Amino acid sequence: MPHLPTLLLQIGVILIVARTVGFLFRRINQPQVVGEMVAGILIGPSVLGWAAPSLSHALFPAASLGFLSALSQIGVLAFMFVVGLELNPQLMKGRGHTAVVTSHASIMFPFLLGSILALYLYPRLSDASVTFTGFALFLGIAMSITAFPVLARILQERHLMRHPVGVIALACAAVDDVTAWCILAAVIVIVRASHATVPLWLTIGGAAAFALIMVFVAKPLLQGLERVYHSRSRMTQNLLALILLVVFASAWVTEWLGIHALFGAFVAGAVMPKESGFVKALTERLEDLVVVLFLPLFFAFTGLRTSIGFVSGGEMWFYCGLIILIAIVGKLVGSMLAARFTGLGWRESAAIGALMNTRGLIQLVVLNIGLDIGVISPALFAMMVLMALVTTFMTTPLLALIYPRHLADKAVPRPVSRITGPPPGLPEMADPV
Amino acid sequence: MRGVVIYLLLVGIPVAGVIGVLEVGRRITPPPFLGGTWALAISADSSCGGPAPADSLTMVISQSGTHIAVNFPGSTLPELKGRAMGDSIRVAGNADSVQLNALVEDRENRMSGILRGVPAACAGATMVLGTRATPPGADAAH
Repeated sequence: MPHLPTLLLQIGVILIVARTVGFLFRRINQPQVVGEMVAGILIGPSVLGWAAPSLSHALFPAASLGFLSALSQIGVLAFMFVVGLELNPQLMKGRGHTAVVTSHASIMFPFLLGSILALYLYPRLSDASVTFTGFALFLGIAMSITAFPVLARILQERHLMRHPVGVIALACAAVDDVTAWCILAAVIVIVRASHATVPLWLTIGGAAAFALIMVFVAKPLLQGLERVYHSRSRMTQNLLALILLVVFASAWVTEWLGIHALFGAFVAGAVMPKESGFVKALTERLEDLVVVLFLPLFFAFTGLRTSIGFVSGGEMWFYCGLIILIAIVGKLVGSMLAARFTGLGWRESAAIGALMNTRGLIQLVVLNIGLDIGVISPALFAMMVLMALVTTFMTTPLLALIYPRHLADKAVPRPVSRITGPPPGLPEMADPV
Repeated sequence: MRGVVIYLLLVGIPVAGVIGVLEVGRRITPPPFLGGTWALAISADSSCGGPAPADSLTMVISQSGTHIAVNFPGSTLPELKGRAMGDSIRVAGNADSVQLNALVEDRENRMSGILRGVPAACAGATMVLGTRATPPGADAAH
């Protein structure tokens, strides 16, 4: 049983630190989510545990972290469902070629650089419990992630939602999300294959059957939810309960198959009806609680697992710097070149590269999976958390440099209010994700 | 047609590169897996003549490749940090107050070595025998 006073105290501290640091980051024109990621590090062993170890042990005793973990997992499940929900095929309309080429190239280029980096890091930061194939594939995919929600938030803040750069970046990030999660699912199956409880044939066959059922059976059936929503003119509690049931059932299936519960939640969101009123009503119901309560718990849990103390000495900081450099070159340059090849100008291509380099909390989700399945060591986890922070933090200033606001405003007039909102296919993003 | 060529150029070549890297990487030998909890039996006949802190210790190894950190929960011994080189590990506390040099054997499930500085101020060495308490893969996060 959780020690309730401890858990409540932890949640209180996490909320205060997350909101405060998030607010401070907004003051320096950063998305609040970046501040909340930093807040997680602040309350973990890297800062609080180092500055006030006894306070850190009293606030976050090791035995209590299981409950915090469970709460944060539920929150991330809901978040991944919202990410899937906000994916809309309409984003691709008329931009399919550019989006698919740019997105796939922006995945494969950093993936290649990440796997080349694995040749160097495997004998230094891994061990015999992990195969090279698993290590290289995971490092590759971790380099390739783009945070669709953070990217959308940055575009909204910079009034680029209706700008060609923003529209293409969103379409690319949407394709990127789907492709990257599919590759990650395959990587997890490969890594877990040696000690999985479910046979490999069942995982692969089951995953294929699950995907087909979700697309060809569940998706048409779920259209009925939209009709119920319109007949009631609101998102009723029964409807919400039914949707959550679909999410958790889908998550349970993918977890049981040996992939990960998060895939099920993401797929459940992706196959939900995409009518904007339905999506907006559902997002509003879920997003506030997820963004205000559960995501800070996830950031805190990630921060509690991140010990920057593991990155000590010149050699370790060299590895860390190398990871950050290759992540930036791979994603930014890869996306930029791909966009340029598809016919965009250099400035627009560079802006797309800068946007696609945003890794944000999706990267933290992926890294936590990597640590859970043992494919990355605690030191590598800490280095890659730093990489996620750096690449997310640099997006806004880099974009301002490459694509100053006056150019964006010249291309597309600034909306007079938030009512004008995002382009068709993307619901209004709730603050701050 | 141009689109297909661009796709093959931007996506196909990196995919081929990844396949090549995976092939090359299979020949790399990683450090032995040491992470997890170990039971450390301490020899009674320490060359110091003094009593050992206990007949056995629990030792928890956090491993990141060749970099390892060793903790002894429930003991006053400090955290030891060091490297794994091939089959041998060499870790020490601050100012080398306590040192452990050991050889890993039996498919990473046993180690034998010497512990220096235990008891405190002992310049001699104490023989230790380590046995893995948690099987490989039991604690996935190392």
